[in-house]
Amino acid sequence: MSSHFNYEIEERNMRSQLKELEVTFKEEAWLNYEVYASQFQSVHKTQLIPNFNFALNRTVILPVVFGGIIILFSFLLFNFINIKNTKSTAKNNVSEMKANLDAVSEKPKPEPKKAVIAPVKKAEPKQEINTNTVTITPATNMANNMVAKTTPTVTTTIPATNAIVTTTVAQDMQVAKSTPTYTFDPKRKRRKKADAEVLESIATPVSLPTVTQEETEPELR
Amino acid sequence: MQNPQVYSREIIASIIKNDKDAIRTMFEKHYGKMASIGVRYCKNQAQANEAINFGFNTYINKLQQNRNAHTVDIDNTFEPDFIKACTAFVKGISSEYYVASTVYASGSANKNYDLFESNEFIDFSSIENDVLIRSLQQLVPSQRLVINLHVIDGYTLEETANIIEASLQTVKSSLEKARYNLQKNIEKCYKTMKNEQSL
Repeated sequence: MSSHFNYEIEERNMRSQLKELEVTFKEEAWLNYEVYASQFQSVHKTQLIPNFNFALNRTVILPVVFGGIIILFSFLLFNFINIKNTKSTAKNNVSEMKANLDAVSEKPKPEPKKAVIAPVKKAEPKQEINTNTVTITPATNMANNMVAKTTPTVTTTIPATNAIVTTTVAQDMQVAKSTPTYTFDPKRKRRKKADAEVLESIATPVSLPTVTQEETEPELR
Repeated sequence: MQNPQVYSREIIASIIKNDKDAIRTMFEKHYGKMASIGVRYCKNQAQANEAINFGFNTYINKLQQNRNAHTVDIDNTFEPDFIKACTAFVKGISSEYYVASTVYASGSANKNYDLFESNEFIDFSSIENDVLIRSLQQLVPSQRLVINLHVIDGYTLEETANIIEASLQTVKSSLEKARYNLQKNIEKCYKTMKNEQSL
């Protein structure tokens, strides 16, 4: 813009001139508006539920939002951290443990398992008599020996190093004397082998297929 | 003069109910004013027609959504609301408004150095309406808005800045450029009109 510019327009005249200006109504203008209004007409519905306008200022909303965030965060942290008195809980735990231990000690000791049964099951038809077992076993009674003789599988299967097992075996043999029929645990009872099913033999075809003949492949499912 | 009985409660109620006859009555009544405003604010007649439709429709929608529409003084509120709607419409054409607004006002590059050119005196106090409107329409949108709002419609600079959503400094500089360009446009239009008349 040049510095020698002189603004010569009389704004007051121009204003009054343009303000007084009016255009006559045209039917075309109304039709034009109708078309426009049909395109951009807003659907005005009467609201059944009254509108509640709460004037909430930014200075109110922001602290509330930040406060909410802080409370949520602290709640999260509270869930992760256990603030209970650890000493009292430890004492309680110790007393509970002691009580449990006492209860366990007062309980009657469980009877020794019938460990003898397992070796009996695994009995192999060995004919050799382990000399170690004979020397270790305290059973000097002849009757016991007789029983041992009648049941050779028991004596043969017991390993030589396990002396305790042999003693229990000998004790059981005494029991066996009173009850001549020795019964095993029903769970470990051997199942009788089922008789093998005899399959019928299919007669082979007399005329074998030739090499050139293609065999049909079975369909895979 | 506008008849104050035109906008009775019944008519306003029927406008709210989207009654065509009532809306047409209102359109007819305000068309003259709307057309004169639209022509000033827009770059041509076609854009002015669009601005009229947009501004009137905006006002009707606003009235329909107003809970206290029955108490609205349409005669006094229509024109300022329509001017604001027109401004929004011109600003809404962002491809024109934001691109063209960055063009700086400058003198014509093709200067005429003819010594015998008729240096005719132009009486700016009595310029024809056509020349004025055409020279206004040739302004860049931002300058056109500022000069229309501040100079013709009588808004203060602060109000103008609020309406066009610009800073006061921007409005001031736009106004300065607009005044300069308007005068140049008037001179140009005046000469072309004289030439057309002579031919």
